Amino acid sequence: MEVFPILVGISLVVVGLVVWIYFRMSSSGQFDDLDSPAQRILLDDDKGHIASKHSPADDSGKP
Amino acid sequence: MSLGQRCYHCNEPVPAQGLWSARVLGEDRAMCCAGCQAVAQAIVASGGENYYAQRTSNALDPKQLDRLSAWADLLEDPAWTGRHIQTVPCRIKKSGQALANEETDQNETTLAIEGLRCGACAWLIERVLLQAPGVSLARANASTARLRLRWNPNTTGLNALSQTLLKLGYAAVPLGAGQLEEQRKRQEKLENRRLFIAGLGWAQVMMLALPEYLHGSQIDADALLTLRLASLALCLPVLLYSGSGFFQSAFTALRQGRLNMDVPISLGLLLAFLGSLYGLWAQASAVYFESVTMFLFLVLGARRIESVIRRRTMRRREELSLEPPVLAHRLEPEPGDCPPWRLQDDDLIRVPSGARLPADLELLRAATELDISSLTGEPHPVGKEPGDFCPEGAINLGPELHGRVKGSGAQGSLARLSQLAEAAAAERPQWSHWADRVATKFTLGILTIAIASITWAIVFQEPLDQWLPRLIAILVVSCPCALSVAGPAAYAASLAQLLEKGIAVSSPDSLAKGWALKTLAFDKTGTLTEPESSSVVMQPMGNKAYTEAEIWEFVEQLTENSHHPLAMALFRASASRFASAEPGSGRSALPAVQAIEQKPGLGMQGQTHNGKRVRLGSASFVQALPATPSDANRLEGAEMASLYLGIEDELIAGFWLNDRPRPDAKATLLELQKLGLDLWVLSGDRSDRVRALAKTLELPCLQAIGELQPEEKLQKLRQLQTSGHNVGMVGDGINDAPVLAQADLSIAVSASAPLAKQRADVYLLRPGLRGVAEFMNMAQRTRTILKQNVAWAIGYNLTAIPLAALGIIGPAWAAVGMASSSLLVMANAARLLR
Repeated sequence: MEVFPILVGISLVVVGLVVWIYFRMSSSGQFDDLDSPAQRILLDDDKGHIASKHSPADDSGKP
Repeated sequence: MSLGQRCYHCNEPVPAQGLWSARVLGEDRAMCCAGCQAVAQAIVASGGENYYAQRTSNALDPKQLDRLSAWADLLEDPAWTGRHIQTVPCRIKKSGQALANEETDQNETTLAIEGLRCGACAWLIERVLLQAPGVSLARANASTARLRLRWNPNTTGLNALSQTLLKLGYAAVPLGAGQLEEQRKRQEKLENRRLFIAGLGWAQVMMLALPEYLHGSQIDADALLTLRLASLALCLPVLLYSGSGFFQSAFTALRQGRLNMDVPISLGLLLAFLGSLYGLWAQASAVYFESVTMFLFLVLGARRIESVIRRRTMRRREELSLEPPVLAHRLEPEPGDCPPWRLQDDDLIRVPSGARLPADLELLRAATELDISSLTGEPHPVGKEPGDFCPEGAINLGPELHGRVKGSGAQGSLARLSQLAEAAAAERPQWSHWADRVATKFTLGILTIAIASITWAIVFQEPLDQWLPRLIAILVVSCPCALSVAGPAAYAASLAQLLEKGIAVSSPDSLAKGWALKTLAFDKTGTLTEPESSSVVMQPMGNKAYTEAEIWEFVEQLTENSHHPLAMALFRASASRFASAEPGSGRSALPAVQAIEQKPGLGMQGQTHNGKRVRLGSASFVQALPATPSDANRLEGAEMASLYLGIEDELIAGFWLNDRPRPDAKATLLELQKLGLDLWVLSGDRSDRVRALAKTLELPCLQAIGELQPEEKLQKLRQLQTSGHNVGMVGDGINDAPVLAQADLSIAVSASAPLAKQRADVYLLRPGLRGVAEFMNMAQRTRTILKQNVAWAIGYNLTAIPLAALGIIGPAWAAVGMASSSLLVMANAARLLR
């Protein structure tokens, strides 16, 4: 059972990691608009679209 | 109107003649107007056709954008640009990447976009803007209706870009309060994070608590201690981070000598946590770390639903408060109309009777009265003497006034923008005070029970193991949410939903007035009927010295710039006549009529090229006879009486106007009847016409009275009220403002007089009557939801609190009970959003 405290400790570290990732996602604005990115990828993929050199994806990063 | 034919672009009904269409996605689609057609063609031409395939909400009718397009002008004004445009130095590094194609400094700003409603809109806007030269970043956010834009100021400008957007059916509106925007965004992010941390923490602590739940007796002491220590390690940061909102609010309330709902929540959380800490120390039989985190998560979840609803309402209110800027009529230094932000200190302007003041003014010459209810809520007119200060936004109730502008117009306009945003954000209606009072009493009751429980424990010398869980359970289990949070949330949800349907409600109290109504009275002209679709029959009279074409041309010229409903109906009639005229009967080269003026309450007057007086109005006005009161009344335009055209004292033509009921009048009245309302028509028009209208509508229940003078209308309404009923009035306020004011609930239809819009409890933003039925339905639904929530709250608390006080429910189940009860009532309130 010596491994038990170690496992619990590891799970705590994992939780910390998850929190860190979530905070980064939230700062990057990933949750600001839950609607348009889903549409954007559908629309941009369709016929007649000329890939723009300014396509939103390569821009300064997320709003 | 043709059956069910709706505009492909904006979903408004398509007129019967069906003049407009556009080819979209390989098919010809019917459009309701030239505006929609142009927008649809522009969208297709820009390669954004897919928008139509993917959109999830209809586009805005471009006509509605016209009122906002003038705001684009402010985007170029230094007063705004100075504050809201940031310069981004070239080759800025962000997320480690140098940006390509940015050799010069870039400008960046955020704009509010009217019409941006779904993801497909966002895609279309970004796509088109990024194709425009000079734009390096365009980010449209569909949930906040905001656009972040970065562009090269040497290549393009905001005005050009906003014109591009306008072609696609979107209006860019300057944001007045950038700071508020930022603050709101931060708040939302914080709420999300708190909720996430609480949820994650709950899941983890629950996992650690499970072995103890299932096999508590078999776990050896060391392992148990490890599990409990790990729970503590997770619970403490969660409590501090996610719970800090409750603690702050409770602390502030206590310091000010008040109680609020967050007080028992905070006490419960703290007690449960400290009790667990003690349990850990004393190796007691139970700890409640999992209850703490679960309680936090579920309560935060309920609060989150509330704030989503509130935010949605707030945003819609803000959009609505954005009215078209009032044009200022400048007299000095350069005479002419201009947007208010072009006004300078000391300019001289005039404000017509009934219009809104476009800037802060110092009154000159004559005294006047102002309606400042939109600024301060003061319901009575305020008298002003020459030299007095008149605030921007007030409505001039007196005759035309002249005033000197105080301060620069741009500052005033900006201040107004941010003021509107702030007012919408800070709005704290009546019911929230009521909710606070309920929460206070409730909290007081709970604390009393908790103290009684401790006293009991001391008197009977119970061990800590017994009374602590009971105390925690009492504090945690009680749920005042249904009364104090879910009630306001239900109101907010129905307001948001009503706004979505184009119905502006002045205060949540109007909903309560709405569901109490027993009788609803309608004005006829302009309310039940629509002046826009009235048919006009013209009959030349007298010696027929003028051809029909000439007569119509006189009419067209005389009515061109008038906003009077009758004049507008005549202008439309003449314009459509010339549009469909055969060759030879079109416009002759009639010399322009000069010195056209509107005689209020009488008609239009002008001078022909050879100096003859030409008049359009009642027979007595046209023939220069002394006007009889009944004639004057007719000419006020409320009733579609016959009009005459005359040159000097001779009548040359007569006009018969026939107004038709609005297309949705019958359906609306039927629906209202189903809701159990008594329906009346109170009209000043001739009785036979009113009866004819009631007959056309085929509604036997409709009680129609005609030939009512305004005072008689008022009397009739009072009479209905004295029979013990709550009476609502639907009108356009053109000459029934006093009746609207007297009614228990006033509903102003779209295109009402400004004063009626201002004062009405409910104002329909979309043409038609459908909104009346929608409002009444919504009021009924709100009442049902509120009743359900209150019933649940009483039932739940009466059961749960005694059970907790008797120690039957432990802290964990108490937390489950309270939180699920909150979630239940919030979810119930949120049903109103659908």
